[in-house]
Amino acid sequence: MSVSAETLLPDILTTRLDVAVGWCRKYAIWPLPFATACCGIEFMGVACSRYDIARFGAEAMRFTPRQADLLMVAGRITTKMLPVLQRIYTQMAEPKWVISMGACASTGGVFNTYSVVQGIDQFIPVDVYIPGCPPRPEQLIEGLMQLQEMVKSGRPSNAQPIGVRHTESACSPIPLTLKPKDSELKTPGKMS
Amino acid sequence: MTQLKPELNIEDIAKPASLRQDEVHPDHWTLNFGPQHPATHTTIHLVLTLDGERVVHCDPNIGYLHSGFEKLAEHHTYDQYVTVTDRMNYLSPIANNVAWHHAVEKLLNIELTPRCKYMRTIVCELARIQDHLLCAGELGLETGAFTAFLYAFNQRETIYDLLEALCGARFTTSWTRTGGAMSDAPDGWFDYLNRFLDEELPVACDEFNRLLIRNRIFLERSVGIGVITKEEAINWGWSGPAARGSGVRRDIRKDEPYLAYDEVDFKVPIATAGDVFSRFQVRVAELQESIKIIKQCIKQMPGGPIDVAPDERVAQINKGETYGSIEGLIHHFETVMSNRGFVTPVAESYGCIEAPNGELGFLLVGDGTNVPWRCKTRGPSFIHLQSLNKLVCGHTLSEIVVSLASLNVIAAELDG
Amino acid sequence: MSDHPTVALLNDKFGEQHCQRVDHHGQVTITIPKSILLEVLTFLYEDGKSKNYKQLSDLAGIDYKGYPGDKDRPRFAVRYQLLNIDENIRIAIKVACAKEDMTVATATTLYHGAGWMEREAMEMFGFDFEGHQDKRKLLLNELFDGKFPQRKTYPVTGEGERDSFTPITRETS
Repeated sequence: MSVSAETLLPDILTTRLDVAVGWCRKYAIWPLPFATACCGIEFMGVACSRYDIARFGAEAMRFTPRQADLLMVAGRITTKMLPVLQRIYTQMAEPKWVISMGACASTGGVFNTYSVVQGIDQFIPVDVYIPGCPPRPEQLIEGLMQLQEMVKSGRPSNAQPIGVRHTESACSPIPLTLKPKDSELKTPGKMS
Repeated sequence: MTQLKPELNIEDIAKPASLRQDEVHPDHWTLNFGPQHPATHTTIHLVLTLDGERVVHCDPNIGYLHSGFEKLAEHHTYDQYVTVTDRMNYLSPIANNVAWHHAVEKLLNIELTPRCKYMRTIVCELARIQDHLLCAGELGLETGAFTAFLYAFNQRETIYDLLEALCGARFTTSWTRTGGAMSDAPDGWFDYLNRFLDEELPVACDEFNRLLIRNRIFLERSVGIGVITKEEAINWGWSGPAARGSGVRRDIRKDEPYLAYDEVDFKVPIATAGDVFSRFQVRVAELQESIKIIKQCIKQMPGGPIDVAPDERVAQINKGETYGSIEGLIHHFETVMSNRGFVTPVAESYGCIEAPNGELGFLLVGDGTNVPWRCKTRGPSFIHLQSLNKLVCGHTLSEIVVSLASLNVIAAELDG
Repeated sequence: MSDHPTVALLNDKFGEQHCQRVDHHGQVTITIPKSILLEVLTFLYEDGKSKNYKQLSDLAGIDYKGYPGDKDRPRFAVRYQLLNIDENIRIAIKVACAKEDMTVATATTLYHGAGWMEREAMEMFGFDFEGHQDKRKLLLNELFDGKFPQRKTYPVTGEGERDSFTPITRETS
């Protein structure tokens, strides 16, 4: 079978370049630790000697969004902080990814109160959710590794996150606008 | 009815906020320090009015982590809320647990078992070591000494291991319960603790001190910075190592003894200069005293149960009994079911401990049920940050960072 | 029960009928009329034996709506926790406020530390501390204008403030 060089070469070259670029990117992610609360301390623990995020190439913390790839939201986001988070997200340049670390960033966590946003994914796109309160350093590393797979394959960041949450599952997703009525919020000890 | 915010214009939110010029003093300019900045210890926003590099006025704008702790307390039982207290001063979570249940037991007037007192003293001092290691390390970090921070953090990892062996969680421990604790020390825990205190921690502290205490750069950046006098510190409500750095002779462990502190022998370090370096010195010295306290507690540890007697109907019974005997099951129902639970007096009580950061107090208003009517948290970070303008006025921008680090402001305790 | 040394001084100066005392296992709380708050605090601040309360440890607002016995008392109260460091004694002073009149004299003239504590009470309950130099909101933003989250009538999950933001998608960012 004869294939002309002009038709064959461009395809092979593009694929290889993507893979090469993805491979480089995944081992050189520069996180922006948007640490607000306790998860920030566990994040510091991962960055320190015992768990050492430098093994994964992600030790270059850049606190300015202009230089960072990965927005690592660690901790609860309140109504006062959310506009700041949105601004930081828009100031980041593509390609950019977002990890929602911990229960508070993912869903509001223990704080089902008037001032804590019940999940940042309602207001900014999130790629990987890391459960835990706070997540153990090993969980954080696994989340980072999952993100690395996403980065390597060059998937657009708004594609389905791997492994952590499936929207096409058996149970129907809870609409995000549903707020619990106060009567549903059980007050222990007070029987009405 | 809440108005929805108008449509977001991406250009508006992506561009940086403009610099305002003061009409009266055209040389002054306004700078936003935070709320997202590595040196602000998470979410603190300082609106600075600067004259060149010198601070004319510093106005902290807080509330970026206000999570409604106090409102949440009105919807949790006393034993459920301890899980939330972990998230307050997250450098030393188990100290918050002890503080919370100290306040609860003061309201209910419960006397703990001797073993529980000693165990709580040990974990409180471990929390103090954790907090001071990170605070002192962070102070090094702010001045650029990254290695000191790494050395300090490594020791915290061992403390995390110890607490994980004790209660299953390395960070958010939720260890105390009303009238006792969730678990007693497992076998070998005290040996592990002794090894840590004898072999690992002093070596690391020694290395850490050698890196910082006589380091000229560190001294230049911390001596004479952020000074507050003793009278001012008292008037602004300061407590803990920050106040003791200015010569305030107050330590709740000695003045209003609780747990086992009146049965152990320790000194309270006091400095007089009132600057960043003296606050640092007080913390480092307190670390050494904490090691002494824990060693004495281990030696004097009494036997016996860790929870108060079941007849008091406050402490949750252990799970073996719950599933093993009918009395245990009934007791479990009595303490846990939502229409049961222990009866609290219809009274108010303020209970505080010497947390690593200062006086951590809870005002509890009981209403007869097992859910607090009102819980006001008195967090030392909130009180300390008020006076930041006093500390940094006239200093340069880089000195704000160091002053802030010396106060050990934790955003969760600050915003509550 | 040993007697609190300051209570006698307060009774002599202001009259026992104005100083209602409540004890709880050694902790003394004195409820005084709102009108004499500043005089009482100034009196306790002065130097002297069993006075000299130089530190305000805590300032708390309390909403008693629904509390046992709430029909017999005004709805709100402000509680000042004072500390005398030299003699190591604490005392708590309470003033009651009805919902219609939430004005209370500020303690910032005596204690600098009261500044933020009063700001927090103002935005959480709706008190108005007369003479306070800075009545801006402290912890909450403008979404909560006119609302007082710590009042018993405000639900813990809020009234929709936490959902009232516009989402950003990848296409628009």
